[in-house]
Amino acid sequence: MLTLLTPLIFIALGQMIVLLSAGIDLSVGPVAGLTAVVCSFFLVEPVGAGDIVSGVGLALLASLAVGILNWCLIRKTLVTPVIATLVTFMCIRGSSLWLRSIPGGLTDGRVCDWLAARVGPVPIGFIVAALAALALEVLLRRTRWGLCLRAVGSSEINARKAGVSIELTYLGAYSSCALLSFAGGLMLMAQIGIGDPGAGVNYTLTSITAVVLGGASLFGGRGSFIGAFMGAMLIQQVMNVTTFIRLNSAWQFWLIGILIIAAALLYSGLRAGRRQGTVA
Amino acid sequence: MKSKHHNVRTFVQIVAAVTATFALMSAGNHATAESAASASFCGTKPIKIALATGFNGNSWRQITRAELEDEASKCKNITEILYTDGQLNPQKAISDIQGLVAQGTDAIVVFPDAGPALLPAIRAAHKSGVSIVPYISSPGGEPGKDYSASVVPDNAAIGALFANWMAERLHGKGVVVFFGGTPGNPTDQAIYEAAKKALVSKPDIKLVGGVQVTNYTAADAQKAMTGLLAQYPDIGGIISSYGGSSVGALRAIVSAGKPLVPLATTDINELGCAYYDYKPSNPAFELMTVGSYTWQSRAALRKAVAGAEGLKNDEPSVQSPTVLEDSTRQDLRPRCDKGLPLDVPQSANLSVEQLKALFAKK
Amino acid sequence: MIAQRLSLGSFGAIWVATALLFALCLVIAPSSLSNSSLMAMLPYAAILAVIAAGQTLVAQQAGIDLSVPGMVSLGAIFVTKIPDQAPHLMLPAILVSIVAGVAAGAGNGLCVAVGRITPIVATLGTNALLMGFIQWYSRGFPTPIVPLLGDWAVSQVFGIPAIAVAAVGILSTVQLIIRATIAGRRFEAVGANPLAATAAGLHTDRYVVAGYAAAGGCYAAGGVLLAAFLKTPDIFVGESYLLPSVAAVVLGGTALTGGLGSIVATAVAAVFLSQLGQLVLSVGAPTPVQWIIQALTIAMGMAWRQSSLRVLVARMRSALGYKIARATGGY
Repeated sequence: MLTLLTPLIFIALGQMIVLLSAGIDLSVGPVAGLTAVVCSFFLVEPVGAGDIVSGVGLALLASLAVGILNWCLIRKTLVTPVIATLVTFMCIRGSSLWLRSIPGGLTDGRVCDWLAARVGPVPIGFIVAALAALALEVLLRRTRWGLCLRAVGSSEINARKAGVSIELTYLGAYSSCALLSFAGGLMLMAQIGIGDPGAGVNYTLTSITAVVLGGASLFGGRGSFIGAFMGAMLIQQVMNVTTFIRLNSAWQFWLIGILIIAAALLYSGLRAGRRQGTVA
Repeated sequence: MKSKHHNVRTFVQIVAAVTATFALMSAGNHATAESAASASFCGTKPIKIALATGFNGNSWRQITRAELEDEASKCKNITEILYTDGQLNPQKAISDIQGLVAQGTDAIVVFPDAGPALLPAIRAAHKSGVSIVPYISSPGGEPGKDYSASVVPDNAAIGALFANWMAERLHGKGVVVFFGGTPGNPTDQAIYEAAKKALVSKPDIKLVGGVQVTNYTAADAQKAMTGLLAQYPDIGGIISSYGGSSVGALRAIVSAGKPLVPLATTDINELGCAYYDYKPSNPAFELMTVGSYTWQSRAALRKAVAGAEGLKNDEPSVQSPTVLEDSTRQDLRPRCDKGLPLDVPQSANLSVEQLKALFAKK
Repeated sequence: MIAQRLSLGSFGAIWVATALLFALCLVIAPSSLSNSSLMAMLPYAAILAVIAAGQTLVAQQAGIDLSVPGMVSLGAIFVTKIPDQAPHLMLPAILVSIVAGVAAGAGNGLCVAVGRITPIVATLGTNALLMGFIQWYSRGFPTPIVPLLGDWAVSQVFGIPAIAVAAVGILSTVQLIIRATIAGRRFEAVGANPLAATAAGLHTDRYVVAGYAAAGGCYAAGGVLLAAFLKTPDIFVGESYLLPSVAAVVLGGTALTGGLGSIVATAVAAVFLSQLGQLVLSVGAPTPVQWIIQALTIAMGMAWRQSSLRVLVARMRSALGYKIARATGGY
């Protein structure tokens, strides 16, 4: 179960960074899928060190390029993040399907084993994801990077006045989001073991759901990586629960819907309460 | 009203489950060995089985489920049947299989909609000792090594059958188009390649445009056909891997004001009915269909049960196609039953009464 | 004044782009302009236009509606399931479909306006709820539409597909309500500048809820038309309309950050997108290329629009203060 959860955690963390900057990234799912597709051309049996470097390296560069492209579209042409990343979403899906018109390129079993290696019952990938969440949380609260990110997300104008380098902050947000999606893509590849052009796309909406369940505000500036981590855990748990308590197809949809609305109402109520508290 | 209460109860269950526990242990095994006669494939050990599907939103899925239940009802030792629906999300499909394994399900019949991406999860289930049998679509891998057994249609034979019938209708000369389902799915690819191979010896028949994406919907097939008609005004025949979407292709031709052409595809009630509607004004329209393999869930179940019970099952794992309708033959006239939903395949191995009960208005 | 000139410019562009596209079709693939090709394209464009009109109403309130798939499917499921073996229930079924869409839309609006949930999250949630409802209500299989409605959908009125005529009727009604009634003008005012509207004493929440409800009605109406046209619609038939509806809105020139919107421009954009699809299909481009071409078209359209207006927008932004856009739900 934890293996399945790991890609979602990485991608949700990436989504969280962008959300903190008051943006949104719809291309995270396809980026994860593209990573798996690109790697599938190199990591086939028998895999050598060179293949790993070139495959993973190329996928890394591709992801980074998408991150920078997103930033360019949003900041240089002033397209809203939804539209800009919708465009990259469609382009990357198209590219993945173009590279692999049908699923192919079985990943060398050893690579999958490495990526799915465990310490006791816990996959290493999961530990790394948990540590990443923790590290990002600390960075967000304690460093200048975190301060800049939250400042830009809360109010670009005020951040500019305070001397934050706006463009650099946005560039950092979108490229680190793409890189975390890349990490998620590697874990996804370990899970599916083949270059599947359709893989990963669902992570876009799931990652947004995860950060929302984790209490992030889509208006930017507010949110926590630990929250995103917990949100991802909750989604995975809901998926598991549906089979355990024999839910029919309809309830498998309803459960997620109820959770999203309930969580969003709860958080918005909490915030309203807090605001009123400060006024009083 | 009844179902409303059911929903309230289910909701209470969910709340209890979500709040109470992070991993529910498998429900208590309330199996009691019954001595009533079971069919010979059943074995004796009480087992819990599951049907894991990647999508559950059309009549075909409801029929395969009913066929599986019908087959399972022959076994007194099957204590429970679980169902999961991947909702077209590969991650959920993987999670479903893992969840079923964790609950101690003995045998799983799986429709691997997500394709080879599901193989690692299937392999893991197999390695943990669950008897898991993919059917209809192959996730790749090998029976015995990656899963207990599999049952799939003979896609190569289907492709050849379609192509040869079409070549006969066109008297060896004409333009033929091919309709598939989701982009890049291996089943369509196999049928397409086989059709192409069969047409190599007929140089005057051109298979054009590659595999058209329809996402198994009539709407997308209609759009694709409209585009094809613009590109190839003289299309002489249609081969399609799914009858349900072919209806859209026919509608595109009709709305373009052109005469209908021969169609080879899988059977579905709506096409049989469309044949009788269209034929009078479209003399060149002919229809050939092969059965839709809804019954394959039965064979998959038998194999899965055999695996869980340690029995031998020698049924073929590749099932040849059967021609169900062929409008050029008197003995295989197209079938149309107005009392059944239009997207029901008549090749289902259920009685008309069973089908009607399944789709009756409640 | 500036805003008005701006809106004319931004909504006029799509007409030019569509004219250019048809000219391009004439050069590259004249067959995509044949009568049969156009007759096949129009019903889809019409259905998309009705659905995208709903998305326009939501965008005007600085929202984005992810519940389009559920809403469209909802309309399609009621109009097919209710009159099943009871054809006399056809008209009530159409009514139920629309009312259900309006009710579900109002639910979205309440979540957004009263519950203070971000539109993208609220509609993501309601979409899942609707999908569950459809799975439950349909019992997992589709039902054909009543023959009368199905036959009507493929008929023609003076050589124009009946669906297109119906869509023009629906869109004119919506447009009339917005432009010619006091409530409609206020709705536009609330979208264009919520702070000013509040200051002028308007209950902005009511207009936001009304906007989402009307949008729900449009989606459901689109679902009814779609069901009639397809005869046996899949239970999740609305699934493929989410991205095109958003694309039509932005190409039409309505900003997702709120403000003035144009249903007419969105409808023209729906024709543009449908004809573009027809063009790439008729030159035989494979699926991945189709996706990429569509994405690039949207990107180019947006980039071109934004760069020509960029200076103006930047000025407006600094004048209004960036905060307003944020406070009203922009990203």
